[in-house]
Amino acid sequence: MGIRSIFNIIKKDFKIFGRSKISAILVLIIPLVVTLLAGMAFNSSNISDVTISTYSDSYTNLTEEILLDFEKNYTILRSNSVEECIDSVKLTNSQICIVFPNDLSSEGSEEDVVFHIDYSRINLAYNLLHEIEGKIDREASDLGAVLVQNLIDSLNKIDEGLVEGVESLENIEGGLDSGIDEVRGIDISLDEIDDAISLLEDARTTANDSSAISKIDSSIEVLKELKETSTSNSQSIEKIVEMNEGLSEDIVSLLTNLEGILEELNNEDTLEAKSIVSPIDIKIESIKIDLNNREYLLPTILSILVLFGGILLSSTFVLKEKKTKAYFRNFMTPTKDVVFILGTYFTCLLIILIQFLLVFVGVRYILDLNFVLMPLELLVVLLLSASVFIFLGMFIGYIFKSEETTIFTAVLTSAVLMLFSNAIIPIEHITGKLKDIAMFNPSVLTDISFKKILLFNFSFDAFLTEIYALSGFIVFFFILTYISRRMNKRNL
Amino acid sequence: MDDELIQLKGVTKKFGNNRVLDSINLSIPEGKITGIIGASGEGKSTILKMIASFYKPNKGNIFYSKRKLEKDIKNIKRIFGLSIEDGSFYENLTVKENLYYFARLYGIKNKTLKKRARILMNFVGLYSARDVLAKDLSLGMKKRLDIACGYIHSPKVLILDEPTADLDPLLRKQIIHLVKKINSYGTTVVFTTQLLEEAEKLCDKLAILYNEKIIEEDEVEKIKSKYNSKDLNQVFNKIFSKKGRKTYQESKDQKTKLELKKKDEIEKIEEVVEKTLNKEDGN
Repeated sequence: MGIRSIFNIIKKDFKIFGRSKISAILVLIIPLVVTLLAGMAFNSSNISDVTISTYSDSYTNLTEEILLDFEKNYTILRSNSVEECIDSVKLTNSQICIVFPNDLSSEGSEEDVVFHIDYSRINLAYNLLHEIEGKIDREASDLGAVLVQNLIDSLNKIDEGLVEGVESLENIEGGLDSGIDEVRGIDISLDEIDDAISLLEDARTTANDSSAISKIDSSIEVLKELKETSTSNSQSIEKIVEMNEGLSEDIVSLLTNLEGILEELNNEDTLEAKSIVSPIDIKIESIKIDLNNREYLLPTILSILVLFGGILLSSTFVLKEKKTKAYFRNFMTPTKDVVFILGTYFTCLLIILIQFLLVFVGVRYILDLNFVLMPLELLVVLLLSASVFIFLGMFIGYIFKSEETTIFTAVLTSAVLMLFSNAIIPIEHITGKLKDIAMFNPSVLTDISFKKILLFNFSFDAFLTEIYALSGFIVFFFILTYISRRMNKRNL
Repeated sequence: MDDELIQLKGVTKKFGNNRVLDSINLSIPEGKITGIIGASGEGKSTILKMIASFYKPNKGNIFYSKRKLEKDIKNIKRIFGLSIEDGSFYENLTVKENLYYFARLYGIKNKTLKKRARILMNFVGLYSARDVLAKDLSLGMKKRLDIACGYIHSPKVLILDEPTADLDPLLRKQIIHLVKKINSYGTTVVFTTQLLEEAEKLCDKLAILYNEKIIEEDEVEKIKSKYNSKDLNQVFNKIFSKKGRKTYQESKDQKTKLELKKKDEIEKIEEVVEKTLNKEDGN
């Protein structure tokens, strides 16, 4: 009886739904229209139609060059004061205000280039800041490269001078070495004097003639004086030799250092201005290539559609059912509450599935988006997320008595779930424990799962956590729906 | 009585702190038409909804064939059929679709269902309007549709809450005739009304609800003779004057005063329109 009754309720719901033709068409078509509009509107990978207001006490040539480059992509609005420049952002006449210093030149500037951004438009602010800052960074890098190139040219000249200097030092070192050898040659004659003295002394002992002895003695004296003088000279020479040797070692060390410097200067890799100004090259590559904003947005748009569709559709269905005269009679039949809940649930689920079928056909054939569809994964996530939002909407529909409160709560709940998802502000901006809670927002779980499937073609393993969490929510909201329906009966 | 089908014993019902019924005792005989009569707001509909097991009493018990209702609610729901004052059906479904829908909720198989729906539509005089949306039916047809929806599963007891309210005398007669017809097939009928003449004509047994209690419960003739009255209107006037309250009619009129005023105004407008049209035709 259960399944037959569920089918009976679905059939009845579709008959009533179909008899309100305009509403039925709108419910089925609106998601498709929203997706198509979004797809057409975000069909680029850049920010477009951006106005930049600028101010400078004096626009230098460099500032003008930068602005000329900006004009290729943006509209430039020159303000008469910093305040006017900032106000134009506040009044949304422009999206960013840039104040240039009045002495901006290739030699640099003492002041900074100041950006004034409206962070209340948070996604735009970061995107724009990133883009403009990147452009100015590139200009600054180009200027830096010119300055560094000049520096390199000077170093090259020094390099040439150093080569000549090294040659001169090598000559000096050679001269010193020969000088030391010559001085060391003087050292040998002292031994010869000693030999001569000892020969004369031997001759004196054998000599008998006093005049000969006297002459030998005077010769010995002369030789001894000569030796003393030579010894003294030798010591001085030794000192000179030592000093020369030290000087020679210093020159060798200096030469080694100079040769090292020359080697480094001659190294071509480090002598490129670009590699000195930006030693680290950054290359940004998209994880998924050949996609633009609309492809990136599609998972988020789909998760918003299932969020709003699920909650608003189911709460409205319950609300309409409660307002019908037949609501009371349903309670009088032996059909269980669960059967009525499942009947409404399957009706809403079928409508959402038809909506999504239309959306995917539209996306494929009108927007010509070529996603590698993973039908099974997509269907599972769609069923789970739609179920969560349908039961949540039904709970809202049953728990409130008045029409106004029900609609208000349904819209508010959808809006809160959207606010704490990635749709408006990335959840990474949320602080503290709220972020941890937001991570389990069914809308976030849906968005993440859709992205994994539609953009990166992951299979079930990659989003098991999301599947478990969504399943948990289904059970939770189903129980709440059941309790609220039972409570609702008491108020009839 | 031996033929008692339903019994209410010491039944009290409260909604929050507001007590609507206080220690009610009532016996409803099998195969008869029992009327519950009382001024508006006395709790007539509440009694019916409790008999149909929609509300549970705060105190006391309700028995069906000497068995407590709450013990066998699922089967009890098949035994009772209910028609309420405002009607309870889908405005955007046709007569036939409404009957099919509720029949299936009662677990009636498709083969039986079609036959039964056809017989019932003929029975209540709606067969020719079977494909008309309920919202497009006249008031009398809507009442008949509601009774048909409550009778689609052939209940043993048909509970009717003010079935003739807001109907003109002709339509009222049709409904009374229909109720008698249903009763003639052995169905026990319990109904509420504020119309004393109607109650007198239709009821085998009458229960008078006054000040949260059943103050009289007997066959119509016995009640009349007890109060030495010609009709129920006299009975009520005697009861009400004894209790120091306005007459029954005055009490009832308080609720319907506005409705009557509206009706009067509509009738006056209709008269003016008719006169104008006649004049135009004459010219």
